[in-house]
Amino acid sequence: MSGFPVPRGVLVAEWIKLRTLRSTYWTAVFAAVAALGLGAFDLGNLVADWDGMSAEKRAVFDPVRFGFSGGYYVVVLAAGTLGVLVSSSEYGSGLIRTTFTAVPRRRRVFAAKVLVTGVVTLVMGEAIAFGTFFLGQAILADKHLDVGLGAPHVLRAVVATGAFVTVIALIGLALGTIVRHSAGAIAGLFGLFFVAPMLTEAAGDGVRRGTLQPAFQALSSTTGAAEAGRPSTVTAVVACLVWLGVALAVAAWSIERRDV
Amino acid sequence: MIEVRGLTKRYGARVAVDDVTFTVEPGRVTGFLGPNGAGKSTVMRMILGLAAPSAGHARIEGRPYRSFDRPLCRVGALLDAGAVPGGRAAYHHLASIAASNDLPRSRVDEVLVRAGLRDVARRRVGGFSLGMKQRLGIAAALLGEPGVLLFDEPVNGLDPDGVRWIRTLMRDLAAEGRTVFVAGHLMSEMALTADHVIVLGRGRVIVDTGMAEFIRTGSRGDVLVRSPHGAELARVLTGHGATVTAEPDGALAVADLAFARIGELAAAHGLVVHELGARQGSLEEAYLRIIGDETDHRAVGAIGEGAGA
Repeated sequence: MSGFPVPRGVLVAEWIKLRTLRSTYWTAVFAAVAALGLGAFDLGNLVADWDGMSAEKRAVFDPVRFGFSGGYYVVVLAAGTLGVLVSSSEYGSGLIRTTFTAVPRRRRVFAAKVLVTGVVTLVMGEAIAFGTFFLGQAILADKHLDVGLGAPHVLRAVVATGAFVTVIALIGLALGTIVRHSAGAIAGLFGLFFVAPMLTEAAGDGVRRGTLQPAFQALSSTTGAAEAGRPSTVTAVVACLVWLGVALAVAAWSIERRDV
Repeated sequence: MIEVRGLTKRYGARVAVDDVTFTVEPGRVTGFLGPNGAGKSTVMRMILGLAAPSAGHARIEGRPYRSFDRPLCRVGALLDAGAVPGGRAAYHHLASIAASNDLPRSRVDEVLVRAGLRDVARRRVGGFSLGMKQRLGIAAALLGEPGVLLFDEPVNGLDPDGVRWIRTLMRDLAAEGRTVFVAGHLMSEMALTADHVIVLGRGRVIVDTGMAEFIRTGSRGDVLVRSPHGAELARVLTGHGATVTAEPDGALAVADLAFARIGELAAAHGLVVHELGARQGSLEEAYLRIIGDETDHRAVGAIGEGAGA
């Protein structure tokens, strides 16, 4: 996103818009409750069932990844929706004309939206990721299954889990800018996350590993590519950056060219 | 000053704006008239860099709009009063626009006062009436105290008080030497506000002239005559070249004959006259006539007139 400066005033303008958008708060609260609540529920069940579990299941148990396998998807999708709305809501209401009349260099607006949305969702994502992690480890401590942040790959997994929220939010922002309709862009984003891995399954693991959901699964685990079908950490990071880069580039290209 | 030169906008095979050229001068209110679909809003969007012309260009103070870094100090615009973020308070809406152009926060308070919105500044815009949204849109246009202002149908939804407020505001802005360009549908209102008229029909400029000149040449103007001997008087006047039509209340509308001549003829024939009054042509009459001449299907002028009210 370098190559064009973002004046401070344009950043402030986008920050005012984001913090006075009610869906921002709802998204954050909803996501936090879902992640912590469902994560705790899943781990509570697991702890209760642990003694009766088979050795094979115990062997593949990932104390970090498990807490991110249910409720955390709500965080990912909520942040993606927020990202979409940051852009598409302006097209929906017609406010985009006021915005572009005030700032005719449209890429500045887009860059400011990317920065503000990126920082806000990163803070939100990391806070929820670390919150979920610590709550989860407190529950797992009952069976002495808990791990600390210092254990191998644990800090990387938690940080990456939080950062993935930003990746999805910014891809959502790009889709909202390209599609310009909230419902269409949200459907597209969910399709990209949930449907693309299924569609690419036929093309083989190599292709499927390049889609977003397997990348998220790999990044949020401490085992990485050890589990079948998952990309390595490096592949997952590259996949995220490529999807993000392509989405942002297409959005930045189209925003300058189309009438509003 | 706004300069529009050969501006053209095509959507596929349809030509929405066809080789439009005009200049909007500072120091006066220029009315922009035309039926719905004539291309007024498209022209305004092209002036503001929101839509790209297929040909030609528009300049504000000699520069294309999209070359401005912080345009709000030069140009203010109200395009669509309904295009506001419903969930945001009026104050925050204006604050974000002000911030984007590095305008001080104090300007937000000033325009809120000027638009009469101070008491509702903290209320969400979604709950505003159309009239309040118009005031909010005008407040936004005034944020940077610009020298050029564009308003697209600013009086829609305003109450009589609001209509008068806008009229005074636009006249004041023009009197301060600013360029004021107003698209509208309400002819009676436009006649009171605008000094100059540009009429667009089917994407082309069909009139670009002073308001007084437009009314004088575009409308007939006639003389209203009330007489107990209506039929006889009508015969006499017609015999002297007048065009006489009966008004619904029995009075005669006399055209093509001088005011004084009507009185003299009545006197010469010993016909009592109760009332003799010259009637000025109206902007509405002049507009409907020119639009009627231009449109290929008759209904357009009437639809354009009715839909805006």
